[in-house]
Amino acid sequence: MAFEDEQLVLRSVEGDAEAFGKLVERYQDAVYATAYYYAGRYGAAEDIAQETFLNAYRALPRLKERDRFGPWLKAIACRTAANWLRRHLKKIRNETPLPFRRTVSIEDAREGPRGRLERSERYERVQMAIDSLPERCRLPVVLRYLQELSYREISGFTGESEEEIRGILYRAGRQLRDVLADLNESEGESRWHRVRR
Amino acid sequence: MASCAQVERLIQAYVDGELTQSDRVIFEQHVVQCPTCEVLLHKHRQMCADLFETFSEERLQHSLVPQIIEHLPEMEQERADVQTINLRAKHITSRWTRMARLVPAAVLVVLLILAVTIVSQWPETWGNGSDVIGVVTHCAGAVRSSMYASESREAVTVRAFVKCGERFETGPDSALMLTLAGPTQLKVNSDTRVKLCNDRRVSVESGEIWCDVGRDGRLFRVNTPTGDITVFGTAFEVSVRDGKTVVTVEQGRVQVENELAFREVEPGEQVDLVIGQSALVAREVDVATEVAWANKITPDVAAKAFFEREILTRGSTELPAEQVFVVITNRDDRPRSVKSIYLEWAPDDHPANHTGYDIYVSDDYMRPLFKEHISGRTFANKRTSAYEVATPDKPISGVNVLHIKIVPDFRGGEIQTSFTKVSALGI
Repeated sequence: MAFEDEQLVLRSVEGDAEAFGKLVERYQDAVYATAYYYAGRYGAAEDIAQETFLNAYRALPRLKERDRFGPWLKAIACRTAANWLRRHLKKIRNETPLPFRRTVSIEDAREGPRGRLERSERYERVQMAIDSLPERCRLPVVLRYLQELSYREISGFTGESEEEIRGILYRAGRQLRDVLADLNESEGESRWHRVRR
Repeated sequence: MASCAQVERLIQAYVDGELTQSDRVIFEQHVVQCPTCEVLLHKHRQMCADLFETFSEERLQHSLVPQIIEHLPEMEQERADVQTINLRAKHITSRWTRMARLVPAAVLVVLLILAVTIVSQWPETWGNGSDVIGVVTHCAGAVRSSMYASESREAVTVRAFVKCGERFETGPDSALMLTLAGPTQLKVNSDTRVKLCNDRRVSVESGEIWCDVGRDGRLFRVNTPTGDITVFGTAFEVSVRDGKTVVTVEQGRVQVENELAFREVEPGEQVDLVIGQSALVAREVDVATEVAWANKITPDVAAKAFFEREILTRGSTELPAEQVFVVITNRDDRPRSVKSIYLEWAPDDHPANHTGYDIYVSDDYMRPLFKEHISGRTFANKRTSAYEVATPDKPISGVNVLHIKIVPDFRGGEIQTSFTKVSALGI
């Protein structure tokens, strides 16, 4: 996979838009999740992801280790997200973070005000639980649970080995299990299960 | 059977579907038999499901590829467009103001044209440049030059340029005079082989030269097979014959040294430099007869004028002279014994190409005590910023003040080091 990245990067540098499109396809989930991790509460993840890829395209000729495109892209994504946050600092200070801002959908209406509130609460709890993890664990957790990346894809993006990712997610999972144990006690079963059935 | 602790470590990877075939079999076998782990697995699965569900609405719903590809080619274009639009929109300007904005660009263009013109009109002789260090101002008899020892020798003519690294060979009954940037006059007697390393460094293989060194406070060095002469502006003669170097000083002072010792030579004195001699003894001589040959060589008037026009106006490579430190070695009016000299410097960023340094140590009355050489590699090593020079033989005693002169040798490289502190270590 890394070898293919290298080929695609080389072709992109020469101006092959299709090759760059392949790279976007391969990494959009990871970049989007990273953007979400930094600024998702303000609904900017998609904008930041797009900006990240445009920044990366511009900087591509300066990429030295072409076989490490993933970690390089991750660094750009982090920087782009940080810049976005700095630019919008004034605006977002007065803004209510998601999901409270989300407009009421038909489904929400069906569930009634109570169901909607529960969802918001659940979302808040999950966010807090992730924020309470050691910093090193947070991004892999978001990559895993937001975009369902495989361990291999996560490792290719963060630059850590697959074994390290395995360890990180294990430790994070253990902590999250304890913190979120009572999340569904009132409901008994999560709706996800219901849907699957 | 695997222990519960081992199984617990596999639980996340199992839920994520990232276990190997064999690990999965072990895990599943254990869970079937162990109710505790079954409950744990259930809880863990629940937690993962909750996370997935919570995030489900935030998930990226569609591919970003089309939007990004659409924006790629016009990326730069778009920016420029926005800028021009903004310029026009914000400021309604007169034609003159708009013209005035072009002034910086116009100035650049004019400067560029000027630069191109100057370069193309520049005298041809300047062409291959910076390595020209002087001009041949007198030439009589068979004189030949080459850039490398192995190269074929070419005949020398008056007004030819002298380049860095050029070698000159004079035959019997011939004479050569070079005027180098400085200005330094260099007269070469017959049967002499001399190499000009640069405008401040001359190497004499054999024969006789006379130098009048430009008095601009910079270091001038003459190397011979049996010793070195260091000058800070003076006139003197060096003759290399029969395995020894004879240095005669006409004006000023020079410092002579062989591999063991060094000393200063005053006007009217002559010193022999022989390999292995530890005491350099000066004797009085009649300088006029010694340098009579040199007085016969006079520069060609036209060549001298040519030199002044072409070389003198140019700056030459600056080689700063020595650094001198005075270290007081007495306490309560009693001299203390010194066993070594400790030099400290500020390390620089250059990885290599440092010049080495010669350290000359003299006493209160400038009588030489000893000398030492520090290799350029010492300064290239960034971990060291100090060097201890031990006194040879035995500690120095009975001296109130040490004069320590530090002179670059420029043999290994060009990068100089500035010494920050020099101190004496006692016993």
